[in-house]
Amino acid sequence: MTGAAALDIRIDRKTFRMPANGGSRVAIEGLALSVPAAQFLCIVGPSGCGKTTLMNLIARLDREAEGTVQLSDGTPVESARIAYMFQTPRLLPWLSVRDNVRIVLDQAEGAEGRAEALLRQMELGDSLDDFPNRLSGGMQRRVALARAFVTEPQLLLLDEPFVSLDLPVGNRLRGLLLDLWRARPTTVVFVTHDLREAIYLADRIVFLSRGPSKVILDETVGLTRPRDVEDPAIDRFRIDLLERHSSLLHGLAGASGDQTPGAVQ
Amino acid sequence: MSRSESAPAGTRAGLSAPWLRLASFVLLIAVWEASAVLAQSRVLPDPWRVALTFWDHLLHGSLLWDLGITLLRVIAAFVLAMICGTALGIVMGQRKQVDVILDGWLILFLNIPALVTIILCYVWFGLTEVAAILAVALNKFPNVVVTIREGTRALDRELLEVAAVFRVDRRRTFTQFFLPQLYPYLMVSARSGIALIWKIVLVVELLGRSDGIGFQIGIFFQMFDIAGLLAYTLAFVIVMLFIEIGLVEPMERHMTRWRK
Repeated sequence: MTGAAALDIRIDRKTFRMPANGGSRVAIEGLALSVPAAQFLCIVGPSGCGKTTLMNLIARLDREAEGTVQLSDGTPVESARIAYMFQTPRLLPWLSVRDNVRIVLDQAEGAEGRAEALLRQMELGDSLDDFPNRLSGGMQRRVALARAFVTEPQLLLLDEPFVSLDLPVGNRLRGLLLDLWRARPTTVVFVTHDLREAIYLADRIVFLSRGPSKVILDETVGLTRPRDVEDPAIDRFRIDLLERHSSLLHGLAGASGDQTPGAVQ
Repeated sequence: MSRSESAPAGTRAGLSAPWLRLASFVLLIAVWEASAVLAQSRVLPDPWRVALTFWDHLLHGSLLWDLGITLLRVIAAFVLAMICGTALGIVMGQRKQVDVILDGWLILFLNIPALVTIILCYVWFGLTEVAAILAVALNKFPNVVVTIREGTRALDRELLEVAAVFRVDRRRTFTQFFLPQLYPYLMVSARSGIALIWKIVLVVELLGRSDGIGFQIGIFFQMFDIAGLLAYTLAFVIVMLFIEIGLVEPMERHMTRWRK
């Protein structure tokens, strides 16, 4: 099975039990989202709004919610090859760089060479036999990115993968991600709270409200590709967006152009 | 870890760690020799006598045979206790209900004296090899369960999520994502296990076997042959030392090489 997956997400209600007081907290409510095949979608929302919760629901790491996550043809999302890059690299410290990437491949595929080729392409050829602890934070992210791409996923999930990196290292990884994505088109859902990053990367940005989260704005990014991180058009797009929706990044739809009045609290 | 801490201390004193170890060992022998000379008693032979007795038993006695048979019992009981203890420890660490049900039993077993387990095994299963090995393994088993349960509770769920999302098969999830997280706990279990087991094996042999180090020590006791007793003890301690240095330590180094 090749090609990118088109995704239909409908979370009616996702609650967490609060062990402290025995009550429960609604994390997501009435969130509907369709992602066409091979689209690069960024999800932007304030911290703690339930972005990671949403990603775990899409990845099916968490299955306890009212609603469905499925492919557009109605098959369960599990029938697609999924890759997930987490906020921390989550590499296995006892495996070498090479084995960390190889471990997610089926042994039957004879894909021994594929992991190595990808790592070399990502300039990790000199570190194949190193353990992750010896690598810098940026290099560990690169290994995690290689692991995400090596399976040629039909759906790629990234949850603030470049957070806590300094700007040049982060930008290099963002560029690398776009290069890889262009070479191996796949559907991408990328979570971030950095609007600039989202505009640089995405075809489309979806903004979430504060918890319980739902979609408050759905914006297409029409900038041409390939893009340059330094391109002033990115900042112009950002400023324009924030002028139209001033409290967007606080999880509130702006006063003007408010598409979902119900979200204003 | 202790080695890296003691090394700088050794250089400060002008002696490296291995030489200090040797010096302290020589001191021990000297204290022994001095005590034996002062006591002039048959029940405290000097080191030289013990060494001669050791040599004599090695060449003309059954020392090697006894050593071998005891070692086999140690290995059998160790493997049995480790495998069963690890399996139950994992289950109890993962399943809350099983843990609640079996926790009381575990505390009970932890507090049954070794001697009682040994006697009961012999009484119920006869003075057989199986009963002997079972008695030893049963003494170690609850400790393994407790340690591995602790390790299983401390597992990093985030790494297991990686395996789940990338659909790594069950076998590799277990061997590459799960088990390596338990290595430190397995090593602790194995180390304390070997130390505990070989001491209990001697008691088991003393009470119900007709060969092995423990059985011979019983004979020496009856004949008041302290030189023989010490010779046998030394032989076994040396073997266990080699197991520690030649087997356990390299294994541990291999398993933790990624930490450097």
